[in-house]
Amino acid sequence: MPVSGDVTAIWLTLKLAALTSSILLIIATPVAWWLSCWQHRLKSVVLSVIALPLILPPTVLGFYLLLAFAPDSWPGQWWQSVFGTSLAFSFSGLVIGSVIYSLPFAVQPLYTGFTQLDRRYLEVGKTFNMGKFARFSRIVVPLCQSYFFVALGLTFAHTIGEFGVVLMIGGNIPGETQVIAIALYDHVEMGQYQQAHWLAAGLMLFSFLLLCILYGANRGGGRQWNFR
Amino acid sequence: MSVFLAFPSSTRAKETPLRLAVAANFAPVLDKIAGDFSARTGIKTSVTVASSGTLFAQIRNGAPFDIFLSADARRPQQLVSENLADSDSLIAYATGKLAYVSDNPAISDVDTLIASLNHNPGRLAIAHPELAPYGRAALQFLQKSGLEDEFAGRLVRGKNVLQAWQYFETGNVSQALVAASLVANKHEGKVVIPSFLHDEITQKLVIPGSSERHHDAMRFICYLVSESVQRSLKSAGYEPVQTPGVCR
Repeated sequence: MPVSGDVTAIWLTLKLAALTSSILLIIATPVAWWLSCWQHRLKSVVLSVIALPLILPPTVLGFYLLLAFAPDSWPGQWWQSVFGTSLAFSFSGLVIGSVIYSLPFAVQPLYTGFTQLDRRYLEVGKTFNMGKFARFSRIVVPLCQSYFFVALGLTFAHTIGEFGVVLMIGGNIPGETQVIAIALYDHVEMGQYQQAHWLAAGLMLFSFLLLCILYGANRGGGRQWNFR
Repeated sequence: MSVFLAFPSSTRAKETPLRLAVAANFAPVLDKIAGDFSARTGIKTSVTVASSGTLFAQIRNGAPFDIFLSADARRPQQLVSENLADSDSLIAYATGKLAYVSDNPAISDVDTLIASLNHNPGRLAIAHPELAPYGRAALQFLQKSGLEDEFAGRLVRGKNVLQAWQYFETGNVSQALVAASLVANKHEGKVVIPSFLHDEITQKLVIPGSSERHHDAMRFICYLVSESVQRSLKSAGYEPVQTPGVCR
């Protein structure tokens, strides 16, 4: 059975994933909507910037975050002055790191959904005198429901498995920054393969089930989760 | 004839470097020593850096290293007792010292250090106590100074001593307990912790059984524990060791 430290790590990871995917849904929805309406020479550049975390080694991101979180750099300073705590080695720091790290996993499915949406529905909504917000919440959201679901599921799953970023900015503090992947790493290093097996098999099963659910939800077409 | 015999071995030495696996604290020092050794002998070396625990786990799983330089005595000893390393090559190569570093130049000896830690804990970076011997020594120091409870929940743990030092170096923590070797060139805000406040950090090395370069590895080891190299370790933050009989 998992030891108590592992249970703490599991809870922490779930909390991090839930918070990250909620925040990302709030950020990614307007970004993806704007991108789907926007035509410009620079569009490919913006899409590339958003997709960077897919390609970059997480350690690159972690390294820059470590420098950004330091008290003598302006993001670190600003955070310190507003909240009175430091960003590195804190749960808040992990949330910020995870939001950047999982950004493409939220934006891309939504972008795909919004570009495939038949805009004539919105024109009809206009003739019924529906406001902008009502048109979005009552037409776009129901029609793109499965894409929202996929975005939420993918960001959640991606954050659960986060390792490289946390290794750089986490500091391995139980209950604060020690996520499942780090706890697993520690077990393997210490030769505690029994506990490592519990965590690894649990993650394996969880990831598989989540993907089954996501593929199941996505059966109704729109199988692409990435930019076309 | 001997020229002919020497020739193939020297070309082979050119092809594959002697693989050194070293605990993080000794890495900067070893880099220089390995460079000098290569210049003298023509034997190329490559250095792999991690925490002692990581390297130990890798060697147990068959990682191809020619010498394992641990930050403790326990892990090389364990490789020997598991028949994964040659007992003749189990040799002490340095005695480590623990050092406290901070942004505060007023802290210059152990008494002011303990007083200031009692007064204003804050966050403290250490290496992972169960993976890195310097992390273990740091924890022992806190226990013996009665500061362990003060720092519960305030310890930021790097995966090895280099990462703990990097946390301090990037300004993300204002104080750290690290290997004295990493801060040998720092003079302000440094306190070398007296060795009676933690178990002695005897660093031992061993040649893993999987190595096929026993002869070259032994040459390197004897260079490392030679009197002149050991003397140079003092300024690098270590206590020298006695040259073992094997190398005399």
